[in-house]
Amino acid sequence: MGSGQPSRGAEKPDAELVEEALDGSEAAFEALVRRYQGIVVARALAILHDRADAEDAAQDAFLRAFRSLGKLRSGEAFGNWLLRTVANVAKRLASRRRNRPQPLLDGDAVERPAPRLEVLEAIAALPEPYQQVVHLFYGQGHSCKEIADLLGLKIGSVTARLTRARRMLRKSLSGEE
Amino acid sequence: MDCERARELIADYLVGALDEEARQALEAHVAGCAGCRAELEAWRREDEAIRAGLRWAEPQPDFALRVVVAARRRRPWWIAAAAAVAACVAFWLLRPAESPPSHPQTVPAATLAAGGLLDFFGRPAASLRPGRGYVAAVNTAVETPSGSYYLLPRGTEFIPGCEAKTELCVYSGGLLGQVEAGEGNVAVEVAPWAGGAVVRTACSQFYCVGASPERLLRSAELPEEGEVRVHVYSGSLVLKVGGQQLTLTAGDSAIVSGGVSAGVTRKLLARAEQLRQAVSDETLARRRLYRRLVEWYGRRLGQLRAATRRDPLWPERVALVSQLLRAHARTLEAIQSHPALRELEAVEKELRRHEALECEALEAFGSVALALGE
Repeated sequence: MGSGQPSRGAEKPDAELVEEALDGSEAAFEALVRRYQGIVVARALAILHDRADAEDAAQDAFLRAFRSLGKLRSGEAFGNWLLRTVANVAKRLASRRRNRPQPLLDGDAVERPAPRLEVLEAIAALPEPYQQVVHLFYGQGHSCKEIADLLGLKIGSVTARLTRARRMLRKSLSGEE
Repeated sequence: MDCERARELIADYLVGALDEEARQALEAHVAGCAGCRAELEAWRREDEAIRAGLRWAEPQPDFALRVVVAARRRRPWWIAAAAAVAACVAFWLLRPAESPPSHPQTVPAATLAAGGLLDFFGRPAASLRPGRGYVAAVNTAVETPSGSYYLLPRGTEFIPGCEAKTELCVYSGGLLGQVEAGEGNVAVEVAPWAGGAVVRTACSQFYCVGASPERLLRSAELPEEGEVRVHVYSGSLVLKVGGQQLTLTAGDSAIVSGGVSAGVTRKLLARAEQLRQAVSDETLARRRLYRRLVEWYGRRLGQLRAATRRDPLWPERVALVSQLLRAHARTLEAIQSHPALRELEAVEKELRRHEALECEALEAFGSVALALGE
């Protein structure tokens, strides 16, 4: 679990943090960064396969997202919106990188990503709302009830998203597709 | 329950979405069906792989701070400039005609906004609301109880309700002490989890941002070690943390680490408690007893050896005590070879280190805090 994980009792829902960040609160801004840094870097890693590039893309995505935070229709949509932003940033970076001369790699390393990357790629292939609950449940260890509170959803929606996401992950990880 | 139904329910079971009846039915089926048991195990291994993958993807511990600092650097310059102009205009329009009251008064939010208060994104902070704690300050960033930092641009001289020479004044929000004009302005941004910090400027002015200095370490919810973020806008700053001294000058920014995270200490305390529960009371009592015996016989042996030099009767007693000491030390060693006890020893040692660091840091901050009241 990330070292920056805040204490459970003090965690505010996304919508409240977004509102406070819009009011100019740096603490709220930082809390949102800490909550989403794991999934944002994971999403970038799945595209870029390089940790340093992924962290750069993640940082860029956070800065872009916060610069245009006012355009967000509702605070609850923040997580999905951020995930789309980081995917766009990482894809642009990847295409720029493809235009650069690349060092020759072992063929096997290029063909088959490491098992952990494979997991991240499988998660990144899920619809954004599913990625969010997977990260909060498996990455940050929140319960379904806590996730429902954080995202402003009903607990039934959270468990439904989580089980569908988990079945989709089962298919892609066991090669059933 | 048949195998097909059981396998359909595995995902719901693993995320805790099954009701009690369905959960029990599935567990009963899995207990008697080797195929479904193997399937459940495969799902569990995948769960672990997902957790491991997400753990592996976690960024460096300072990632969030780097993003915050980068966001601060990217503040568009024209926003600050526009606010400075607005602030100067507001100063001429709103400055007190006679000598101002010596005690700060509550100022309506609209007046503060006109004074050029900026939020973190560099926009005029028109949304500040009375009752949430607000601050009027010049060339400094201060934290309000609502956890926000506000920054006024250099050159702003609009401070309604304050004496002309005072550069820093807080209407609410817990800032203690003041910095005089012309002696250098320092802004200290205390990490929200740190609770407070005491700083000393080069001109020997002391002030405290946040809460009482004792809270710096005690209320910390720190990811690793204690951290305080510091930015110096003009003048210079001497910051003492954990016995170390750091001098920063205008334009410098620093993240200062010192002390121990209360969060980490709490985790260690919880682990120590778990380990104590894992070891029986009898073993703990025997360890205590044999520790005391070894300590006592060790001391006694020293005394007897000194006495032997004066009295020839003592050598036999020395031999006896030495024999007893060796026997007790062997027993203590056997008791301590218990794996949980060995880990407990290590955890207790680390806790003692935390205590020493905390005392050291409190001492450093304590000395500054005393000067504050002078």
